[in-house]
Amino acid sequence: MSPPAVWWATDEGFADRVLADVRRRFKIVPEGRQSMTARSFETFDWRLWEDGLVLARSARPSRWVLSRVEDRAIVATASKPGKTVPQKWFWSDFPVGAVRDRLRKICGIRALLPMGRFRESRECFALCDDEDKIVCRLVLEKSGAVDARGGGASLSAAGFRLIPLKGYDKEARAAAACLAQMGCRAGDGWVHPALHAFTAAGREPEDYSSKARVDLPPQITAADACKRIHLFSLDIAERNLPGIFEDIDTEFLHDFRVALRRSRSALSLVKGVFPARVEKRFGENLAKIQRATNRLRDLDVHLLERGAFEALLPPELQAGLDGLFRQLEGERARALRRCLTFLERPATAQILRDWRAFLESPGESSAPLAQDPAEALGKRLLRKRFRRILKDGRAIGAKTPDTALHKLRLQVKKLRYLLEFFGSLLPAPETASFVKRFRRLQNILGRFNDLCNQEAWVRRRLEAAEAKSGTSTELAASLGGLLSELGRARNAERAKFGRAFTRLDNPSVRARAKALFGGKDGSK
Amino acid sequence: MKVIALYNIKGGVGKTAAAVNLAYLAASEGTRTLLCDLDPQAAATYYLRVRAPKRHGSKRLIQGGKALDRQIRESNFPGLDLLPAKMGFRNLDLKLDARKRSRRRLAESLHSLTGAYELVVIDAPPNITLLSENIIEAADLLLCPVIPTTLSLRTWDQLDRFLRKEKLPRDGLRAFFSMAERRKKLHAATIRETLDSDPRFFPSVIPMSAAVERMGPERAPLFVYDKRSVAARAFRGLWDDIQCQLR
Repeated sequence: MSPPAVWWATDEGFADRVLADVRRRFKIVPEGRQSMTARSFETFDWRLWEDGLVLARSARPSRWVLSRVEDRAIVATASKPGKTVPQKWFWSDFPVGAVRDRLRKICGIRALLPMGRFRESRECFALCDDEDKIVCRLVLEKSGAVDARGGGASLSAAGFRLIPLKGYDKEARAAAACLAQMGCRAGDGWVHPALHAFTAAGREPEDYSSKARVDLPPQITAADACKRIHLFSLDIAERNLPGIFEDIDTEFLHDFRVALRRSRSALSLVKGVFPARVEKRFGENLAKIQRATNRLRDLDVHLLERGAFEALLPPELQAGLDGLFRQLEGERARALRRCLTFLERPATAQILRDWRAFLESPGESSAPLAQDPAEALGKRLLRKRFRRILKDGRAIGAKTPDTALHKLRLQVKKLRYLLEFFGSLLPAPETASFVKRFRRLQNILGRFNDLCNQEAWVRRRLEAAEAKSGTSTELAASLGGLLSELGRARNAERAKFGRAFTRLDNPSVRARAKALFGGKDGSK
Repeated sequence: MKVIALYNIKGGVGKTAAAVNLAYLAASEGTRTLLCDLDPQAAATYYLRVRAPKRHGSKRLIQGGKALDRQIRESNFPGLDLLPAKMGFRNLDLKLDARKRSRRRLAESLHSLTGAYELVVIDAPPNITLLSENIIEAADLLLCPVIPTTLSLRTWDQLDRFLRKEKLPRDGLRAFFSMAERRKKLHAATIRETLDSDPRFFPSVIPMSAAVERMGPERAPLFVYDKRSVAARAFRGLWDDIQCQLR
């Protein structure tokens, strides 16, 4: 077996010690030193890091490097395109190749933002036998942050990389033994040089995630639990505001809206925990903010659907879409201006400030359920919601109008929110397997809803186009083609509903719900 | 994966120097290359400073797959690996003879390395044996270094006749002039006449050179210590000719 590739040490001066020790067994020939300065890039929500990768753009040699967090090994490289260097990058801005393919899969519609600079040096030593045949290589790696003004970086030694040569396993093991003896540790603990850059840029890996992860202590009261849940959502909303103002990518607005909606759901689902006037005031105010972003989000969604629409149509019907999407882009620019004007208003900032002030105030609430244990309250609400879903779902047959499915989707969404809020108070593995049972139904209902919305929107566009004289026949043909394809897809999605619902409405899931939420099993 | 074999019935014609230098050039251009030293004299192995593994012999060479892979050694140069030679290879003929399809064994064994290498360069021993026939079968390009003398050209003809008689593949048979001394009128005339009449000769001519001879004491490919020499330029030219041919 080959020895571990990376070895790190915690104290300075270890490098000389290691080399001195290695020299007793092998002849060491220095093979030169390379150093490079690079700027790291990452999405706002750390998608690359979560996937175990770091993207950096080095100056000399001028290229993009995708490397593994774990051991810094280079996964793929790409040449640097053009002279213009935008502040943000999407996967489609990269030259065709492995880097672009990986980024497309991992980052999707998120932009890659510059996150500080680092310098790294690699000094290579060849370990030779007595015939001067190289039997193994050791690379001493050092790294450090470069400050914003491009000033000098102080490099700290991170460790040695052991590069074995094919056919010389024994020698590599001997070199590894020297490293181990001199206090180096193999494997984990290796710090990726990009971390220096992140720290210098004031970020820390995974310091932002849009996923709801509120950890509640077991004995918490309903009022305190709700405050924490709302504060979590408010934090997310506020962290996304700068990205919305800079119009970096569409996910900032999306996450902002999800956070608001989550809070609004919590306000309407968990009644009686805050004073009624608070519930009313902030419910209305948050809704007002969300409404101001509706138009922009709708247009974002339609623009993002472009690829999917093109895929639905045969090439001869695609021509009309160009004009449509150009028009949408114009509409989006106007919607963005209006949305930002609203968000910039002092009154909007005041709403969020007041909301935070209320959530951070320590005072005990006089609301009827404020002092109830959160766990019992959560279980009661979940139970109710689950029963409602079973009842509504069973009433849906082949002839039921689409609106019933939309209503069921909202019920399921509410259940999901409740699970996000109170999930940490329930046993984790059981909750996870329960959530898994729901996922398929949720996906089907979500897709069904999207298709209905798309269809309605395309129909409106088509009607508007027909009403206006001088509309190109190309556009009408494209929209007509889309309508029929979307209708087909919608029916196909609806046909899947029955099966998915039975996966949920069966004795084993009901028993699981009972075990989780207590009370009756919902079958009645 | 392409296989180039440096082969001549006659010894001392510059086979090993060509094999090592061509393999080095290929690897330096990023082609994953394996140099197979099948000559029991192990000169290529010596040039690359490799010691043959203790348990290394003809059996593993014919087995192919993992058994063969384990005998391979990474050289000092990126992208260039070596299958070291050993005196054990002198028995190769007997081992091959004992097997079915005895002419195709080496080709099949090398085939097992397809994923790992893009190019295999074989330094073949100077004789006509069953091993030579295996090498001829395995090679996409059977490359014959020829000293521009009458005797040397005669062995080239012999080789050609032998391949024809034994119905061995002749499509990949090519030659180049090696150890040529431009000052010798006879050399110059032979080169001129042959290049005009035999299209199987590559135009690049490797000169007799002190720089090439230094490969012995330096124990390295020519390009490592004297990349600007006339001989180094000639090897680069030959490598270009070969690449055109392989394409």
